[in-house]
Amino acid sequence: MFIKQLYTGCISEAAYYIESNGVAAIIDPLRDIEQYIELANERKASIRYIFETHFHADFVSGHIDLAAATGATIVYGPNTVTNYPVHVAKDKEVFKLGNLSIEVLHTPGHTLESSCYLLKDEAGKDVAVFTGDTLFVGDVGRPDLAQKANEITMEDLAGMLYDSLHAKLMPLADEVVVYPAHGAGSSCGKSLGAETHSTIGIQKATNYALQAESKEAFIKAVTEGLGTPPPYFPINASINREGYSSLDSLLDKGLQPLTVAEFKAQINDNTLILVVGGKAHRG
Amino acid sequence: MGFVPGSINIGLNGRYAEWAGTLLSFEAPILIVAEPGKERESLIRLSRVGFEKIAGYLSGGYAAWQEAGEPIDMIIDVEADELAMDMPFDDNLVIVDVRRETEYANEHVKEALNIPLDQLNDPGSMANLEEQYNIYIHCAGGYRSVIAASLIKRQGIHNIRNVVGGFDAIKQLPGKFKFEKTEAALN
Repeated sequence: MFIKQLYTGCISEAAYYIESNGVAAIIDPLRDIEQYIELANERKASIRYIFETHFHADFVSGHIDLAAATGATIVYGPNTVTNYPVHVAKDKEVFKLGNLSIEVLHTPGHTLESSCYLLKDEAGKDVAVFTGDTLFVGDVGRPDLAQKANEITMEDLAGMLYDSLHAKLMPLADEVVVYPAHGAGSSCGKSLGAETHSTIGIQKATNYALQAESKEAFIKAVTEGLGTPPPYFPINASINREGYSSLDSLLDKGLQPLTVAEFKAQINDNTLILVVGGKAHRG
Repeated sequence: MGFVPGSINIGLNGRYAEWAGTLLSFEAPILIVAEPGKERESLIRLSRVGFEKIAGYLSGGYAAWQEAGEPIDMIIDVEADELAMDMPFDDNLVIVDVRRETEYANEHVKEALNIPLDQLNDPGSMANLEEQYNIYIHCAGGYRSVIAASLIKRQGIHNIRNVVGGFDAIKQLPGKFKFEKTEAALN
């Protein structure tokens, strides 16, 4: 069994590589997929599954390009509707990966299709759970992104999140490793911790959202103090649902060197000039 | 630091894609001026948040623009102690703190104006800024203030200075600044 977290700090995103007996699965890949393909090639493994924990709002996932490049099957949780071929898993459905197995835990709340993936070893023992934006280190996924006017409120979603956490994640053994989709700095929660992984036991003991004495207290705690989500979140969620053109075709079109004269000829009231600074600053 | 007039300046060494996604239109074609050799990374990181309309990049980067004798614009960098020295003698001095509301509420320079970076795209947010003011912009560490300076310049306000090192650098000079908190806004 081989598990590797592939963490991208500038967008606080964690993808995962899981492998057993020459077959691999990727969870929540970024759009630049070479890193996953290279890792699989180095390890002489083939990528069979791409598990998506939900329709990400903060980045465009590489699931579609990665499936096209490897022939892997894209797996989403229950009730997912996409514009491209995908395996919509049932709750508790089990996928075999070499000697390992991966069980789907449908955990609606952050979004309706949100699902966690529970990894079991050769003996069928729970080893780790890939929690997407359902459970973070020190936080839970914000419940306001999937609201729909007159249909479903932030409080409805927070209530579902409470039920999902209590029914599906908190009963797992304390030593089960928690691998979330994001770390500190992410706008998908309000106060993610500095660590990029944890355990069920530590989260049950320390995560503020898991300390709530009642469902009502939980709903209040997770819905207050949420900042405005970045304006591109609905755009990215929609791209992940509807599909996109390949990164290669985008690079073919966009990586066009322009002379100063050509560059100036392109400038009009509609264009934006982005100067990409190189200075080492933070903040 | 010089740049192409009218451009938005976002550093690659920070939360570049997030700020691009937050501040740039997804509909408008984007022209890129990057450090030579960094064009591909600049584009890939934009694609991670869904930008599709990249119209090309300036071959040779900013240096090519300068060598061609094209007009340039500048963001003037100042150190925190220069701001401290100017403050007592300048009635037109305005400090603009572009950190988030919660960061500002936690502690800020007394009388600094808070305009969070994600609100700077709205021309209304700059209604309080006028050309006769001497505007000093800072964030937490100096990354967001550069973006902010370029956005303010796009609105036609050019009398601005970027405080290098941001609030972290200002905090190193406790005798020279007065600080306050906004209790009510803290959760």
